[in-house]
Parts: sequence; C-alpha cells; structure tokens
Amino acid sequence: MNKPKISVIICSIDAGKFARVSECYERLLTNWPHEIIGIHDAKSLAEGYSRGILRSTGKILVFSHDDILILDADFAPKIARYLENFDVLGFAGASRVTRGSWCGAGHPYLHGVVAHALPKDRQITLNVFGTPTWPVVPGIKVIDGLCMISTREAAEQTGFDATTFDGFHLYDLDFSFSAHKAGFRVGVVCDIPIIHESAGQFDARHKHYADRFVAKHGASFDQGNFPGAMDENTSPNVPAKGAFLPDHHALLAAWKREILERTTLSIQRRTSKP
Amino acid sequence: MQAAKEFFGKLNAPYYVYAPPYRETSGGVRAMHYLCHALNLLGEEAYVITDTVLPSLRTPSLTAHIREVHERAGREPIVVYPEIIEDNPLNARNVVRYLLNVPGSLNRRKLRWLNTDLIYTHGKDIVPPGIDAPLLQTPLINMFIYNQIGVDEHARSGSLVFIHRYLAKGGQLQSETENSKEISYRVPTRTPQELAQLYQHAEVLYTYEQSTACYEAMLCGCPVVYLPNPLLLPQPPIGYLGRDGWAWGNTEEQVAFAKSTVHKVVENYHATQIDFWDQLRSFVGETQAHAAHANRRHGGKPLFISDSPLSDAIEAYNCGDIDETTRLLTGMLESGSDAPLAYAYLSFVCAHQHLVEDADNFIRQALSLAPERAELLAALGEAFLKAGMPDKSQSYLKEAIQFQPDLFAAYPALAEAMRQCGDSESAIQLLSAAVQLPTTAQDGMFASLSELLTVRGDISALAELCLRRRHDIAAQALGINLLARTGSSPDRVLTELDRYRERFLPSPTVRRLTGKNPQQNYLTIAFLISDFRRESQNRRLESLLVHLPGERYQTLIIDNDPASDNVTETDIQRAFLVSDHWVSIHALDDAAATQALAEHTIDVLVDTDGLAIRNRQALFLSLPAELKACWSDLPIALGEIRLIAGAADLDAANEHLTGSAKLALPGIGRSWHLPDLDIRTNCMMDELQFACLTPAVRVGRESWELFADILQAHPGSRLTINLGELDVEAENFIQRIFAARDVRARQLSFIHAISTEDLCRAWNDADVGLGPIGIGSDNALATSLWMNRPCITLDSPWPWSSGAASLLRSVGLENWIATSRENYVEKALNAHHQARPVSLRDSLRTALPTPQAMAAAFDDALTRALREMRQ
Repeated sequence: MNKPKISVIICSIDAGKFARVSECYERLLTNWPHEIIGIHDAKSLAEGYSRGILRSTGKILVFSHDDILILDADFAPKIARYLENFDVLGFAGASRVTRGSWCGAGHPYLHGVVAHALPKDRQITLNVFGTPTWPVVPGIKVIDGLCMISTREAAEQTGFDATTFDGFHLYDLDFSFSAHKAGFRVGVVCDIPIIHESAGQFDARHKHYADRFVAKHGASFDQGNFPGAMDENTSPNVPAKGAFLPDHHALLAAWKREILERTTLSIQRRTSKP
Repeated sequence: MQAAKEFFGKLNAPYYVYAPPYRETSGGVRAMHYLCHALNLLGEEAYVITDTVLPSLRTPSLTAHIREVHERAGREPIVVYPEIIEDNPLNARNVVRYLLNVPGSLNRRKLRWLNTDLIYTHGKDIVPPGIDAPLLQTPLINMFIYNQIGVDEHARSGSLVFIHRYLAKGGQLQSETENSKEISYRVPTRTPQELAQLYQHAEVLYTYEQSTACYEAMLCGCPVVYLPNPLLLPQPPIGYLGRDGWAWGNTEEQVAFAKSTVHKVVENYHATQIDFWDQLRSFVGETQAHAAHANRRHGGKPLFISDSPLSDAIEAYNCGDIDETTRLLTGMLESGSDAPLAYAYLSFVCAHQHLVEDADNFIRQALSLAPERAELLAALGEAFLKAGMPDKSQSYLKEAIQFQPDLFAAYPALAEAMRQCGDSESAIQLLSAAVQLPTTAQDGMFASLSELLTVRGDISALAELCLRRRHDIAAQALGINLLARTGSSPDRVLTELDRYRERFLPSPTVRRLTGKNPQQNYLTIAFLISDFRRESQNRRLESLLVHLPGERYQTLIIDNDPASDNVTETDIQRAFLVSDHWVSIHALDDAAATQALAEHTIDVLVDTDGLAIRNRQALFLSLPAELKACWSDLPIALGEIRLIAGAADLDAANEHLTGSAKLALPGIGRSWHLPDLDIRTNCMMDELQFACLTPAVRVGRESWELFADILQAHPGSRLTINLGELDVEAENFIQRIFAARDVRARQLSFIHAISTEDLCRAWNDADVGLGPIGIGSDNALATSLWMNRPCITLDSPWPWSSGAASLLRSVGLENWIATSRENYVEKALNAHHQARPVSLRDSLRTALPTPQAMAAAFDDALTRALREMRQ
C-alpha cells in the first residue's frame, strides 16, 4: 500500500502535554513515514498552524491539539484511505452553518463522535453527535479543531487566517468552512476513537471570534428555519447523546458501528418528537 | 449487616422551620412547609412556627410546651429561616438560611446574617456572588393535581397570562396577552384543581415574571412563554426544571421549541424529586454536624439549658470523643451524682478501651441504682461487640436476655456475637426461634437471620424463612425464587406463586386499542429492568436494543435498577445510548412511576425480572400496554402475559405452560461473553475430579446431599466447590453436610471463582461438572461447555429449571441429562466410561444465538403475536 508521509503539527506551550501527544502519534505512525512538528511559541493557533504548514513536508497534514489521545492502531491507513475521497477530515462537525459555532446547527446537522476526559474527572464521557453514514460523513461544512486532517493541497490553498483569528477560537471553523467554500470535500470520521481532555470554552473570547466569523462568512451561511437549530443564548446543551464510561476499555467497547448508529437514531427521535 | 439504630444514642437536634401561615398561592410559603414535612418523613423532628398549616402535611406547629421539652432534654434546635428574614427573630444559635429568592429582592432590607449561618438554596441562580450555598430543591408541585392525565393535547386552545408584580413595578402589558385569561393573584383566587384544569386545556401560558405557576403549567403540558422585560425578566430564567417546555420571547421558533419539549418537563421534575432526598439527607447531616460542633465549641452547653453534663457526655460518646465523655462523667460522679446512666456510660467507655474489669464494676453499680434496666447490660454487650470482643459481648447480652427474655432488640447483637465466636449454629437457632414471635424487633431479627443464612450459603433455610413472612412482599418473592432454585417440588413453587399473585398482584391491564399517533408508524416497546448486570451477562437486552429494526420499533427503558445511580456503570450507560427513551423509577412508588410513564404510549411491555429481587410485578401488571411479555425464568403471571424464552426451553416446557402464549427466541434464547482461553486436556481416569462451579450461594442443600451421595459411592473421586463470594462459614456448613454422609474432607476442595475467566480456568482443573438441582442455564454451565467439560444436569420441564438441560441438548450432550436423582448418581459414577465430547466449544458457538438472530426472531415472533391479537 502507498504510504503518503504524514506531518503532525501541534501547537503547544505545555511540554508535558506535547510529550504525551507526540508519543501517541509516534506509536500510531510506527512503520509509516511521518514527522511531528511542534510549535511552542504560536501567537495564535492560526499563526502556529500556518508556520507548521510551511515547515512540513508530508502529503497529509494533521493539525492536532496537544490534549488529545487517539485510540486506533489503524489511524494512518484509515486516514490515508479516506483522503482518497476527501480533502479535509475532522472528528466532529456540522453540515449546516448558521452561526459562529458548529454545534449551533443542531440535529440532524451535527455529526461525529468524540470522547471527553476532563482533568480530574473519574469518567470518560462519550459524546455522540451522529453517524448517519459510516465510516465518514460527507457534506460537512465546518469541523471542530481538536484534530483536523488535510491533504497538503487543501491546507496550502485554504490556509489559516491568522489576521482575523488571532486568538484560539474559531480558526477551525474558518479553516474548514473556507475549504468547503473553495470546493474541497470536507468530512467527519466516525470510526477512529479519540479522547479530548478538555471541553470547548464558550466564553466572551469565543463570542468575540464568533462575531468575526459571522462578519467574514455570514453571507454564506445556510438560510432558513432548521428544526434542530439552537439559540446560542439560551441553549447550552448540544443535542448529542452521552455516556459516562469508567475507562478506555469500556469506551472502545462502546465505539462500535451498530451502537453508534442506533444512538444516532435515538438522538433523531429525541430531537424530532412528533 | 444492617446498621443498628443508636438505641441509647442522643436524638438529633429538632428543626424549627420559620414558615409563614400556609397558603397555596405562594411557592415560597409552600417550600417552607414542604421542607418541614419532608424532614419529618425522613425521620427527623421538625416543626413550623405557625398554626396555619395544611392538614395533609406532617407539619406540627411549634408550641411553648414542645420548646420546653426540648430545653429540658438539652436538644438545642436548628432554626430554618427563609431568605426574606433579614435577622434572627428566634435568637437561635444554629441558623440555616434557605434561599427561595434572591436575598433582599423582595423587601430590600439589609441582611444581618452571621458567618456561622448555613445557607441553602432552592436554585443556583438566586445565590448572590461570593456565597456558597448547596442546593435543596424542595418539590413544590403536587403532581396528583398538576399532571397531564387524560389530557387531549390536540384539543388545547386559548392562552393564559400570569402578571403579579409586573404592573406594580410600572410594566406595560403587551398586545399578545390582551385576550389571555389571567391566572395571577389580581383575579379571584382559584383552587389548585381549577388552575390545573386551566393549564390542561390552554395552548400556552404567557408570563411577565418567573413564578411557580410556570412549572405547574408545564407539568400540565402547557408550554410557557416568558415575555422578556427589563423589570422582571431581563434575562432568561434558569429554571430548575431545565430548558424544556418554555420559550424565551414569543417568536414562532421559540414557541415551537417549547411545545415540542414540554412533555419532558415531567421527567425533569421526577429527577429533581429523586435528587431532593439526597440533598435533604446531606442537609440533615451537615446541619446536625454543624449544630453538634457549635454545641461543643460552647463547652458542650446548649444555649437555653443551664447544665446537662450527662447529655453532653452521651453526645460526646456518640461522637467518639472518649476523653471528653470520661471527663464529663467522672466530673458527675465526683460531684455526687447517682445517675445510673453515668455509670453505664462509663462502663461503655471501659469496654471501648478493653478495660473488662472496670466495665463490669461500673455496670454493676449502674444496675444497683436501676436494677430493672436489663437494656444497660445489653448496651454494654453491644459496646464490647463494637470493641471487637465478641466473647465478652456474648456474656453480657446473654445475661441481659436471661434477665429479660423479651428484650428482643438485643437478639441480633447476641447472634452476631455468637457468629463472631464461631458459633453460627447457635446464633441461627436463637434467631430462628425468636423471629417467629410477633414483636416490634421482628424485622431486625429477620434481617440478621437472613444475613447469617446467606453468609453460610444455606439458601434452603433462607427460602423457608422468607416464605414464613407472609405480609412481606419482598421476602415472599425472594422465598419463591430460592424455592425454585433449590429444586423444591414444582407443586410447592406453583402454590406459592399462586398465593403471591392472589395476595399481592392486581389483574393485568391490557390496552386493546392502539391509539397511535398517525404520524408514528413504529411500535413502542418498553423493557422493565431491575438488574442491568444480569442483562449484560446474558446479552439479550443489548441485542434487542441495538438490532431490533429501528424503522419498526422505538425503545423505552423503564429503569428500576438502583445501580443506575452509579454514572459509570458500563452496562447501563450502553443501554442508555442505544435506547430511545429512558424513565428511572427505582426511587418511585408504583403510583409515581405510573405518572412518570404517563407520557409514553407503550405498545409492548416486557418484564425481565419475574420474581427476582426488586421486581415490580404490580407495576408491570397495571401499566397499560397492548401486549405484555415476561422474559424471566420465574414468570409470575401467565394467561394474558406472553412468555419469552428460547425455543429449546419452550419445547421442554410446553406441556406445563399451555395457558400461556409464547414468544420463542432462537436456541436457548440467551448468550454469554466467553473468553478466548486455551483448553487443557485432562485424561479422565477412574478418580474423577468433579466440579460444581455454580456459586454456593445458589446451590441448595438437596444438591449438596446428591453430590455427597456420589462422592460417598465413589471414594476415589473429588469435588471442587465454588464458594464465590462466600467465606469459611459457608465452607464449614457445606463440609458438615458432606461429613454427615460419610464423605471425607480430603475429597472436597473449595475455590472462589467470580468472573467468567475464573470459571473457565477452574474448569481446566476438572473432568466433569455437576449441575445443581433447580438451576437453569447459568455462567457455570456455559463455561464448562466452553472449556470442553461435560456437565451432568437433572432434566426439568419447568421454566425456572429447564435451561440447563436445554443447553446440553443444544450442544448434543443428551447423554449427560439425568432423568431422576438416581439416574444423576448413576451417570456421575459412570462418567469415566462416557464418550468424551470432541469439541463442545464449536457446538456452543453454533448453539448460542447471535444478537442479530435474537433480534430478528424477536421481531418475527412479536409481529405474529400482534397480528393474531388484532385479528
């Protein structure tokens, strides 16, 4: 099998986290051509990732947070295979854009599966947003930035807008939505278990960059009254379904196609009760 | 063991709830009265300071006499003030502030609260910044009044409006509420029933401010539209029933959201009710600890009594403060006190410190002052028991009981002391005789005796004990279960089942009309579950939840398993993911559970518990559903209730269950997670190694006697017995049964195998399994076949015990199924001549149904059954 080189670009100011996530990628990419590029002085994630692109030499670029853990030994062959039909991949995202957050689209426009293990939490939370197709959901417009995977071509042509998004929010939505608008095929991967050690921060800083995102892309937003769309002022709960699991063994046992597909159906029933 | 109440302990501090006169129209007033009511229900002692109370609540009014009694007893109260009270009118030392609104928002007065005051809140949104206030969300709404029972959601019309303080604050009404019927206090007061009727028929309730009325409306299915205004609704309310059922502003999108989610509010309210009891227990624990601490900080002197060193000493003893207890009591004796309790407590202190002689001296002095008080001797016995000296404990408890034979409260402690001294037999004899007497201590003795019998694994005796408690529904269920499991005669089991049904269960309710929403073309199938771990072991529930065709079924879990409170219980979490709806009822009685399930139209209701512990048979029978089915080895009610089982079991059971229609699953209708462990090949010699790996707690005396007959007839053979989680007491008990039938001790060996892996490894050391009488197909049998070991079992046509033979048939081991006890012994004695199975693992793989096959067969059987019924 052809093994395109993978460049993993990680912005991190935490040496411990960087060491851990690097070790995770080293293990996942054993016997696969790869490089890990650490950016430790990024002014913003967009700026750091832009520098990462310039330094990278791989055909596949992975833009990764430093607080994630991927639990699939087939990570490399899977993403190489999926990128034959997609240009940008994420782990959670939306097929509609209506405001400055991907999860605001509501069900059935949310897709993907992400586990969260917050510091000092005794359990791992499995969040299922939806897996209507398997293993990749096509037709995605925006993705979450915990881990974004791109072909070099899509990354270079789209680029990260470090001028508008000079902080740590919304760079991901801007990147993925720009790629989508440029005609690149964006998808959400469902069959690679991933744990994120933090949850999103929807604070005033987020709002600030969400406004910038709306100003930049608002004209391209989806119009109309979407049934699951949420009012970001009053609806803090994302329409997903979650399970609290004691450890990663239980997580992997639950991260199965038939379970996630049935969960997706139950979310649909819950959010669209006649 | 159940924790005994502190028989001689000091009572908790009473609560004085500073509640205004009761009136229905104020949520805050109701909250204070209901808090008092709930404290009393919890076993505390609580009073309100008003004479105007709701007669249906347990809210006694505080009187001067009661205060005086408390004073005399040295019981300093804890006073609970609502947040509108800015100071401390009762001049109490133990003060709790209960926030039902933002402090100062109603009267704008300056608060004069102390740092030592404890603060609790009904909602997080009303806590001022910088204050840490735990939640105490007293339920305010009576769901027997405010509910959606019988409401036709399609017939709602018109709107209501709530205005209370808004106009007084200068607000202007908006045009959309012009034609709405007003329900606030400016119009003549309506009864709660009248209000509920309005909510049940209105399309929407508009409100200019937050009020309990909003929650009442939502619980009646009426969505609420909050009309934002700078005076009273500057921002969306953080309602304690969540985000469902209300709109923020009168926009089309928001109102649609409110209407589509209002049905969830009932579930949210039930969740808060469940949480409330935990919150209240924390409240009691914290406020009592705080009061006790304050009391000690003030030199152990309650505020309003002059001096009570004995009370202080007792409290110090109960708090484990031995030095302080000793100091106070010796002070009393030095000042010439002749209180017998002072000497008694000093003896307890000595017991605590293992000062046997001193303890005896003090208790004798106590008894010389109060010779009639045998309970002091008993209490000293308990003190020695707690101090780890069961021999001393036993002697004082025996002396107390000899002195006063009807001191039944002391019997459980004496039995426990005997057990700890290695004399379980006497302990059981003592309680077995006493438990039959009609005394108030009977429950405690029953609990202790049950524990003793369980610890030694004597489930045959436990079954009889349970069945003697004719009034106790849980004990009856357990007794019948154990009876079936220990191989008792089917006639006896059926008689007890009939008796149970007649005494405790209603007639089944079956809903004949479908009543489906025309837009909804799938069936709602509900599973009533009390043990998710069991469901996980036999893999049947998840098979259906995941693989029943989603386009034809939506699933509802009726969760009756207290383990679901443990948020990381994997089996439960997975079931939650793949089910469509979930209603927790384990903390609800049947009426409340019925109410919680009222919004669901159940087409097919499946009970998975039969008569297992925690079963909800009465609820199962009374809930309306078009088709009901029982998926248990011990079905309680047949007739209208379908029986779900593996086709193999049903074939065997058919002739005895002709009264019931069946839903057949493939094979034996269940499966197991079995590990990929290597099989070790043993040579079956004349000296056979038998094993009974069903945990001893599930094996009855009759089975042990049968196995003893085999070992006695075949002295070269040996038997491995799985104690599971039981210990040496069970080992001794079982050994005695074998010894009585001349089996040598060296023929027995005991192991503790808990997990499936443990069982598989243990089978590698055995040649042949011995299946207990009365046991269906269990983990032990499945693992024996998985490890290529044949297992002898007794055939049975009864659903509760036919599973083992069915499983053996399904893997081609008919030769190992015994037709009688004699035949069982014969097969065991000739086991080494039997043809050895070649590859049972492969046969088992073929015999166990896949999850997909289980779901497909279930779907098929259900479809046919419903078609037949509708025709």
